Amino acid sequence: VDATGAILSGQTAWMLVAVFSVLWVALGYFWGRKTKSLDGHMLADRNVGLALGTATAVATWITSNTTMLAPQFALQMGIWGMLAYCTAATGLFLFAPMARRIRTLMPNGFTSGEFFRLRFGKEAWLLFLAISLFYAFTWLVSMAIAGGVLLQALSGIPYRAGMSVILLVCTLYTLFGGLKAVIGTDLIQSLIILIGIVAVAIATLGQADLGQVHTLLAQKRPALLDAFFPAALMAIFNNLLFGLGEVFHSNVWWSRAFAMRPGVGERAYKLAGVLWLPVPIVAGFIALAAPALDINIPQVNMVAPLVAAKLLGAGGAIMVFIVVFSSLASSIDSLLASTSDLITQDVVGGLIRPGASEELLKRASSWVTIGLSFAAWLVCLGENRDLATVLFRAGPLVGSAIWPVIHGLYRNTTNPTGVTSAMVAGSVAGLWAYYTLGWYTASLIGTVVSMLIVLSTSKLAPRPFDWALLDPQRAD
Amino acid sequence: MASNEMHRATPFVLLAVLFTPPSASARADSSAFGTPSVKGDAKAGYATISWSAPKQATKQAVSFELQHARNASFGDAKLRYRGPHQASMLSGLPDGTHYFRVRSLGKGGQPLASWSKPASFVVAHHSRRFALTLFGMGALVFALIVVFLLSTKSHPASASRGDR
Repeated sequence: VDATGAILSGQTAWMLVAVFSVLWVALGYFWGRKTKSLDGHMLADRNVGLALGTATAVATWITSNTTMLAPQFALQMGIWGMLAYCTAATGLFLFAPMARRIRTLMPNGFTSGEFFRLRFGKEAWLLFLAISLFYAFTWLVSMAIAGGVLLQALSGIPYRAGMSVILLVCTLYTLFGGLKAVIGTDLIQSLIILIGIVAVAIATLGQADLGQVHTLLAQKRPALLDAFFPAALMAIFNNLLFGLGEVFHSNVWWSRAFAMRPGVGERAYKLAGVLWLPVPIVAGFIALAAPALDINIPQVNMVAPLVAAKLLGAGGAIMVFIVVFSSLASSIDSLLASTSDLITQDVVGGLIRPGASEELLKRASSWVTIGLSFAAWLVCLGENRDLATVLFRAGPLVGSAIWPVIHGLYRNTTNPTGVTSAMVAGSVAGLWAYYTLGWYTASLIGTVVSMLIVLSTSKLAPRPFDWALLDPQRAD
Repeated sequence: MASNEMHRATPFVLLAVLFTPPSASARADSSAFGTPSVKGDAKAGYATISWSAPKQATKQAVSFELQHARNASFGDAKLRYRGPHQASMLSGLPDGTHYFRVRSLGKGGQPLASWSKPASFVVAHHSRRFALTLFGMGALVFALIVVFLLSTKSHPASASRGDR
């Protein structure tokens, strides 16, 4: 580890980037070469089985945030901070039955936006699109920025070069292979990530057992073990609700629900939650071990790489680099694919060219993927590397969508005007909390306000709905 | 009609709010030359202390020392870091004012310069009562979501697509 924190030589890093880039693009081309239809490109022919379905959910949810932010939470807020990040698994568990419901209600559906349009009408749909596209774009930008920053920090590869390569590679294989390529590479990437995390955990436990970590933490940073650490207490359910909001509303998860075979979605999401859960626990423990191992942390999001490099040497550094590259790619490709679907189906097919042919939409989908990636690249070229913090401001927005989604999916009395008002009021109240109380309260406040409005308006002014309208092909 | 326009305008208002520059939750006094800069969250008790030495000192220095104290005279100072990095993240800081100062060291570990001017950082955690209130509120909302989703299994609206 040098003075800047780099743990790998630039030459080795470039070689690893080249090998994995060629691999992902070649696999994308291979898996996508026979795809002709829009269903095939966007939803992998709606034929994804349990193994691939589980792997893609795990890999997508293990973002660079899981390997970088979970340790950061632990180091900043201690045990509760680590558990706060783990609560994101709840999103996968609770989405499992919803995936089955979505697949049943909308067997020919494409996007979460389509659900909002058919279920609540145009106003709620447009507001939902604004929220969802804002969230997806900031997530995409934050991942690309994280990619550039992390590759530079790990190996000295210049930020712009690292960021550009990772965006380019993901764009190419998503373009060639569509969702099939995304899901296929996710399987390989999830295996790499899980093996890497387990290896680092074993190495950490080999040098610092739990008792030792606890004793040294109690001496050096006792507040991190405090069961009543105020900010951490608030962060627990805030983070949980942020995770629920992300999963419940985002087309990343809805598109997978549409893509999985009937009966597969519920089991796949439950299994994914079980497989995902240990990752932030291990990553968080690594962070808590850092003070015990006397490792200085110059950049808070670099805890995991620094500990891994110290414990595992050059081999560990290479492994961390591959894990980081895989976790970034597995999230960026999913975001590119599902956000392109949302824009193609809802903006192009819904607003710009209603009734467009399948062929036109398929061509549009490719251009949208390129345009989205290019827009993200332009934003990432800027000097503002704090854009990752913008993602956290999406917390109250997505939190305000939780109750509209679940109430709208399961009750046929939801009031559409109430849904629109709930998302507006929840977002505004949550953003107020973000700036006045702290980021660890924003999603919670946004969700509470939205919940009260959805429940009260649906009770006081119920609007009956015919579920058959969610499947226009069948209704016709 | 006015309501419709408000709903249409809302996403753009939200976007404008969301893209405003972030405000640092806490910044201590700092100068460009040698004095540590402290950035963190005063209500959560964590901060990253970073420093830059004069160019001349940076050429000779092989490492830096960071001291942390609870009083301005550094009578109770503790060594928090010694090494080549020019930043260190500290967490779990208790309520009160914290002082930090740095100096550069040569090859033999001898100080190359006197201590920098101290930087201060005031930590004031949220009250436990407030935190527990929000914790309880979060637990209640989560419980309602779970109960709602569990209740749908027996709810007639989820039994089939075509009811009502």
